[in-house]
Amino acid sequence: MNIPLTVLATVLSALAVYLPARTQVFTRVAVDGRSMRMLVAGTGEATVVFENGAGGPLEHWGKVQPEVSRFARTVTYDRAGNGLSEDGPAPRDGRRIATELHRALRQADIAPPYILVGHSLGGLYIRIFAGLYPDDVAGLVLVDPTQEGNDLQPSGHPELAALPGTFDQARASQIRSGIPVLLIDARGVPEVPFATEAFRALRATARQQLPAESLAYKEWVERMPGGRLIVTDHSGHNVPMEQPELVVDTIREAIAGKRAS
Amino acid sequence: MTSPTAALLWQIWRQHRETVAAVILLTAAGRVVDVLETSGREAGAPADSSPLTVLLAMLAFLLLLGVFNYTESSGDRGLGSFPRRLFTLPVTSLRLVTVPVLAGIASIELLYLLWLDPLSRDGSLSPPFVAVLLAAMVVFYLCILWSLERAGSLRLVMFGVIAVALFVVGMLPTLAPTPPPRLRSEAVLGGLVAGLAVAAFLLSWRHIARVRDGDDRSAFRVQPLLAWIAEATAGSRRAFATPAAAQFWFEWRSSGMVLPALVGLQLLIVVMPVSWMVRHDAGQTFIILLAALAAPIVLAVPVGIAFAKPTFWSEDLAVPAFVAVRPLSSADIVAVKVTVAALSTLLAWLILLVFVTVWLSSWGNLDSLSRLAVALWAFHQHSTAAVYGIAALVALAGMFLTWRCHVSRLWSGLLGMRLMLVGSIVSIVTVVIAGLVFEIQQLPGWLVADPARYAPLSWIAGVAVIAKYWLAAYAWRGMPPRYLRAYLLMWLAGTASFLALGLVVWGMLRIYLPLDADRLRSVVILLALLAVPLARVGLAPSSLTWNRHRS
Repeated sequence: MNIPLTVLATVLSALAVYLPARTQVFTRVAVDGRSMRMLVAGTGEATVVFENGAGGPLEHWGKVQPEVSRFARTVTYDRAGNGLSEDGPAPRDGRRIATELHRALRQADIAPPYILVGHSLGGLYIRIFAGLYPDDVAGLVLVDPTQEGNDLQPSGHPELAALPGTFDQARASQIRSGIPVLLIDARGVPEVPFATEAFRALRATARQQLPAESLAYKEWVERMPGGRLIVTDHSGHNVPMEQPELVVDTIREAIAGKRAS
Repeated sequence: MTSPTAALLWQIWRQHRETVAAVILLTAAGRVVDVLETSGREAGAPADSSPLTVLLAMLAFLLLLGVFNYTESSGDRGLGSFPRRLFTLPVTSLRLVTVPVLAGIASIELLYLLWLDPLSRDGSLSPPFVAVLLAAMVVFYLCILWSLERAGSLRLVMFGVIAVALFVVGMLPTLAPTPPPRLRSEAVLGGLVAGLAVAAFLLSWRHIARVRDGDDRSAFRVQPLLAWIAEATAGSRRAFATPAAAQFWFEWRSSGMVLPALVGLQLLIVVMPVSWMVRHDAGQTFIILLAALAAPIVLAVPVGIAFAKPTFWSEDLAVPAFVAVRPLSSADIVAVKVTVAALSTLLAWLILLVFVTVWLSSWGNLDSLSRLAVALWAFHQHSTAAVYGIAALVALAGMFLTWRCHVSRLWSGLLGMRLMLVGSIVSIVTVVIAGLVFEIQQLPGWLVADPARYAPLSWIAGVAVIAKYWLAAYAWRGMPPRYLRAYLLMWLAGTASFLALGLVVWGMLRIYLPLDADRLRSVVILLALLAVPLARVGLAPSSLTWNRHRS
């Protein structure tokens, strides 16, 4: 036997036995007989629950959840019909989704109060959740959220098809005063490298809508007693992927605000 | 026989009747499979033929080309030349050439007719255009076999490049915008290909006629040019400093330029014209770039099989006495081969990267690549260095993968046992066929649907890693430490490249797809540890020693 390679073979054999045994542990909860996938991580006095944007699996929080898990208990999950969760009953509007989340958290023995974090469409859902279960919510972090009246194209996705109903429910939802409500307005990076002329033109068209969106965010946050607007020019809409540290810092601020309140 | 033509046709039938029977059986089986699948299909389901049907069709067409491999072997060459004994027949050279060519064209058109329904179901190409391409393929095939006989088995690789070129030509009318501009219309492309086929036929005829007259030179008068290149690149005329330097010179001159030449050829005759024709279509830029990057890796497989043998250009697997008596150990000779493969790979990739740079900076439409680069930039927290790093990693991993395909069969080729070499070739073909039959493109989706499905994959990879490294420890026993040190550096660089690229891809997949991220990372690490050959290269010197003493 070649001695250096025998040493290498020994080390790599140990690695080859250790690695396949490593696996992520997901929690499966049954809501109305339908299985939903959840990833619970970390410990802490606060419980942070993440709500995805349209169509995404819980992995979209993959850059944020591990960081937040260092100082809080965190929960990400696949909404029914997304990721590896089973389909849920129609219509897939905000109220149904919020109710299912509430049941799923109870099933998994995750006690309130929760700091809710919603990205994009998830922003509407956590607002509806906060209106339905005000005593269970200790704070909201809205990450470049969808707003009532946003021009989203209805598609085959059941959640987008139910969007008009969800808009009405979000508009009617009352958020308990005194809890921290933090909203991240991502305006996008003004200049991007590698862009061709065609790509720049496309971005310029999209950026024309930004002032109206920002104004709507500002007006909405001003109506919230504990509201604060955080504006960033260092990220586009996918803030959890492009600027995860901002989301983590904002959640930290919400937890501190919850303590103070 | 009533005529010489009938005698020539009878000979083709007589020599290949089993293969013809296999073609008929495959065609019948393919049609039955197609009918069963079509009848069991739900209304509104896609009308494409299944991969199994396409596979059976491909096999039937390949076997038909085997029937019209109109050559006879002499000496140690597996693929022979035009049958010299036919020169004694009382017929003109034109007829000697025309009969197999026309019989080949008629047969392939008949076969296409039998497969017409399943192969033309998507309706993207008109049958007459496909028929012209198939006829041209037969003419090019025979022209290469007859006119480039000195290239030996490499003629099949050359034909492969031509076949890919014809396939690409066949795709051109289907690309956006539709209907295509006149230059990309079926009529113009069909006429162009038919014209080239006629030229190839005339070239073959002229070559065979010359050979019959006793002039055995190649139809392509490249010999003086090659002699000039050899003279110009001979380098120092001083005596070689060491026997290993002489062996390196010998190996490089006999096979080092093959892969770079093939890569250059496919860039010249396939990628460059196609990239020019679809220069306004951003989506095609990305696909052509992927195909161009994959080409050296794919071409390194057949070149690696020839390179694994003791003599690149010979079908004889015994070590020639000329090499066997060299004052070099088997480890020295294998080290030279591994180095030549590395330089050959580097040169091939240099040619490719220069071409890609020129293409993308001049006539390439960069819109789709720009979007990809911006997405990568945004994903990696606005780091331009990350984007350039990923591009460099892709090129580096591609180089190591090419080099791997070049050297991974040395152990079986140098052993001198045909069964072992054929076995390793069959394993590649089996993997390709299995991939087609089991629709490998659906594998990622199947795995993502349930993370438990890739648990066995991680354990299989784990067992393979253990087996590989313990076998390596055994295979490298008694080898000079300097070779082990040098090769371990190569192994380390290659493994690090695969690992880094794998983890970058994993980092993105784990955010976008519902996966068991920990288990997937384990699979990526284990596959990276399996990618660079260590045990097989370690076994090569003992294979050569065994073969050398047998000679």
